[in-house]
Amino acid sequence: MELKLLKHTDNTLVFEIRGEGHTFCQLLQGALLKNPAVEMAGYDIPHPQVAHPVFTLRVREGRPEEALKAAVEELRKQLEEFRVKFAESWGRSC
Amino acid sequence: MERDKLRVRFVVKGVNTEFVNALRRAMLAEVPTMAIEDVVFFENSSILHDEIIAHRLALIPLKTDLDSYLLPEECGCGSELGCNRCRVILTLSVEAGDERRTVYSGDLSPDDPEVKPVYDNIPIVVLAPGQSLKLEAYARLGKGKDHAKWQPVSVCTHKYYPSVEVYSERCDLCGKCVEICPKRVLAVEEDSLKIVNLLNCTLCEDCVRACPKNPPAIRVSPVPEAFIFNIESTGSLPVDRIVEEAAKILEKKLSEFSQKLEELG
Repeated sequence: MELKLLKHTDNTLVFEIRGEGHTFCQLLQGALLKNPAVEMAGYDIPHPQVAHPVFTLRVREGRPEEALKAAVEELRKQLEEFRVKFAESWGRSC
Repeated sequence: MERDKLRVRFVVKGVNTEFVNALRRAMLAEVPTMAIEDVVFFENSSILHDEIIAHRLALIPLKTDLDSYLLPEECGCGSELGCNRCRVILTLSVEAGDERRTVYSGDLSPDDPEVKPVYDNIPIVVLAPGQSLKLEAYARLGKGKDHAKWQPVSVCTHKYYPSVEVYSERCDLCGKCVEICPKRVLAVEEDSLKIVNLLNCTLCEDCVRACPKNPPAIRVSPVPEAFIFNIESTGSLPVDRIVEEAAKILEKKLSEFSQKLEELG
């Protein structure tokens, strides 16, 4: 994964996530859109055979970096919770 | 949760579509397994060409030991055919005597007994009397996004958790919905319409359309933020390990992302 910054203003962040695809981008988008401070979050894969999605994020208030950090934190917590609960219901400790 | 050796069906609640879909995609395309990548032929007098046999060998699921092997790109050996940290050699040497002989996946003998074909009875080629097949195959770890032979799952799906409501005051037990349901979710028992198989419902709404009442006496809808996962392993990895690895891979991606984000400032 490589990040390339394309645009950075007070409320907007546009960057390329090189080497990733829908798996990661939609996960991030879904978490960002839950945040009421986020005005718009989305991504575009300009060419289907080149894994260089362009992610766009615009916020109503606060900084876009903060919204990203919060989304990543929330996803991490969610994934860990999922892993622990799955292991529990499987009948073993994680 | 329902499970057996290769299959699991479980319910996840309190997550959004993106989350379950990312998990599904990670299981399909990102969880590594072992598969034969290179084959060196010493002798092949069978009716099939070398490349066809190589392709058939590649599709044989192998028991994978994720903890003791590295992905070729993570291994520092730089060798084309790999070193003993990133590959397993399987040799095959079969000669048909006076009888016709079928070569099976069980005839492959690996140098690591842990990495053997999941099933011993997969036919590779039929040898006519006098023909022989001698080869050395190099199995490596890989990901499903590069080739389907590295997919650890044969089935990996999720669907909405269904909710089926019956309005008993409007229902006259005509049984039309029971008859039309392709998944046999409903049944008329004694004097009421019962839901006997809720998890099998695909939300097709055939029952709603078949109901002669207006408005219909039955309603199906998805439960928000609840999903049913259905996973079947090819046998190369235990099914719980696949789920766990997928979650770990996504966690790793997130850590990498936040680290790269810090670097950007």
